[in-house]
Amino acid sequence: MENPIISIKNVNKTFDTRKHKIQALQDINMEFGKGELVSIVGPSGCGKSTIIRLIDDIIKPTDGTITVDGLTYDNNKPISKEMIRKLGFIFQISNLYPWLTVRENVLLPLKIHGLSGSEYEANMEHLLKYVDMEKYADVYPAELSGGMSQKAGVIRGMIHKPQMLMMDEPFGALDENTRETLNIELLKIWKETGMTIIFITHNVEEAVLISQRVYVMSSHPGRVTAELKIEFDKPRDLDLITDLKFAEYCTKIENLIGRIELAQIK
Amino acid sequence: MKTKAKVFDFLAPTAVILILLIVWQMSCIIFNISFHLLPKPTEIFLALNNNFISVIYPDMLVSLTVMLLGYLIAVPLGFVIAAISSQFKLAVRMITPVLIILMVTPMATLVPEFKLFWGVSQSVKILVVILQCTPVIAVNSITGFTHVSPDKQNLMKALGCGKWETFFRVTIPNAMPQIFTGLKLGCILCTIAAMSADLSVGQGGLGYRIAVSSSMSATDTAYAAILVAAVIGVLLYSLVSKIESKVVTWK
Repeated sequence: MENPIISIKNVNKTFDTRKHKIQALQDINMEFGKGELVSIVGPSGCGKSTIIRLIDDIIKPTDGTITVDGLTYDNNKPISKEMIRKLGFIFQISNLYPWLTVRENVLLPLKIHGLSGSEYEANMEHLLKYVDMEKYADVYPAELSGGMSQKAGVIRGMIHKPQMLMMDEPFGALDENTRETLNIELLKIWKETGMTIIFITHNVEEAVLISQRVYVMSSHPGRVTAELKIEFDKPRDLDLITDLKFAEYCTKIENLIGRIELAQIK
Repeated sequence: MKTKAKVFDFLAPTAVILILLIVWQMSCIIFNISFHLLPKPTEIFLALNNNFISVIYPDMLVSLTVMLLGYLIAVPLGFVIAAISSQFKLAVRMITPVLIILMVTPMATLVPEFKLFWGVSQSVKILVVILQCTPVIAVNSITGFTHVSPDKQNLMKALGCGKWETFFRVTIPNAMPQIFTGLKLGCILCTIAAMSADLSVGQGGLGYRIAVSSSMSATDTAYAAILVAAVIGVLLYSLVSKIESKVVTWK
């Protein structure tokens, strides 16, 4: 790929536990183009979440290089605040801080990044309305359902208008209808903003619906086993789920994952 | 609804206390319990009324001063010990057993040794309160500081926050419920420690009054002093609980 905005080259990641070392990732090579929406799918424990934590500099690789927007990360130092501002992270579980209201949680990245102004406040109100959360802005997380907490967590990840957004199974805890609605909303937001999005999911249909490309991974240790381009002639909306090509993509990916899981059982 | 709940919260324990006092009074009469063994509640309240200004109030001031000074020193001391040691895993493992030893040691038994260094003074009593309260505040705070979920910390890392910014934005607020548990336990211990120190050091105080009254067979005055000590302890505990409700608003 020419001029990827995110490039992961020959990355390995080993975790040291008290008893032994665990190799989470082995020889990972991935590239993400500017403005792409790419999913990573694979069985549990294949290191999908580890990859986006490496890109977001939450953890460091054991070796290999990660280059984001032209800057190669130093494996011994944290990345600069300027780079961090370009990145956004949405966790698997909403991770709202219980001592802050929904509004305070959502505004937290702005506070930390030193961003202020009516543009961001308006963006927050707009996003809260988008996900039907404007009535709950001054409520504490303990008073929200799991789904509502997750929506607030998603908004928090996007509030500072990052250029690159890591989403770690953001809709996994939601019911099917809400998930589908938010998938379409995500596509709208992606088209409006031109963000580069890396989307982790277990749900193959979700990955095929929203992504331009899908990386398939195997586990023990995590490796990239396949990369598929997902191309449709039709607009990406919920009607696409009934399309034959959609089903073919899903079957192909599920077979790849199934083969991986079978190989591991053997 | 909230007013009804508040009224119930006040009336329920008051009713229980009244019932207990009635049972106590009737038991003393029915079983002809000796005054020297267990005075009746009416006798205790009478002693409180008769001796409050001349005897109990000055001792109450002494104990209150010791308790408050000791507690107000123990709180920041315990917090700072916990804040610094929780930053280093090794420090937590080294310091926690020492704190637990201090927690289980009745400090008042060490008063004779303290008196050798500092003489007979209120400072020794304050020291006893500090030594008894600081460990429980520190241990509970350490527990709060060291039990932050990795994802809460990871969000701070994802936003580029360093160790100390994470500590102030996340670790401290997350630990608040546990910190207040320590503060409330500290209230209880500071009352007990102050009374015990009064017994050993003398020089006034409610514990001293209890001992002196008992030795003079003025059991009603002794129990009146116990009652005042209990009320002070309950008021201090209630004050900390009230502060907790204002600080830990999300619970």
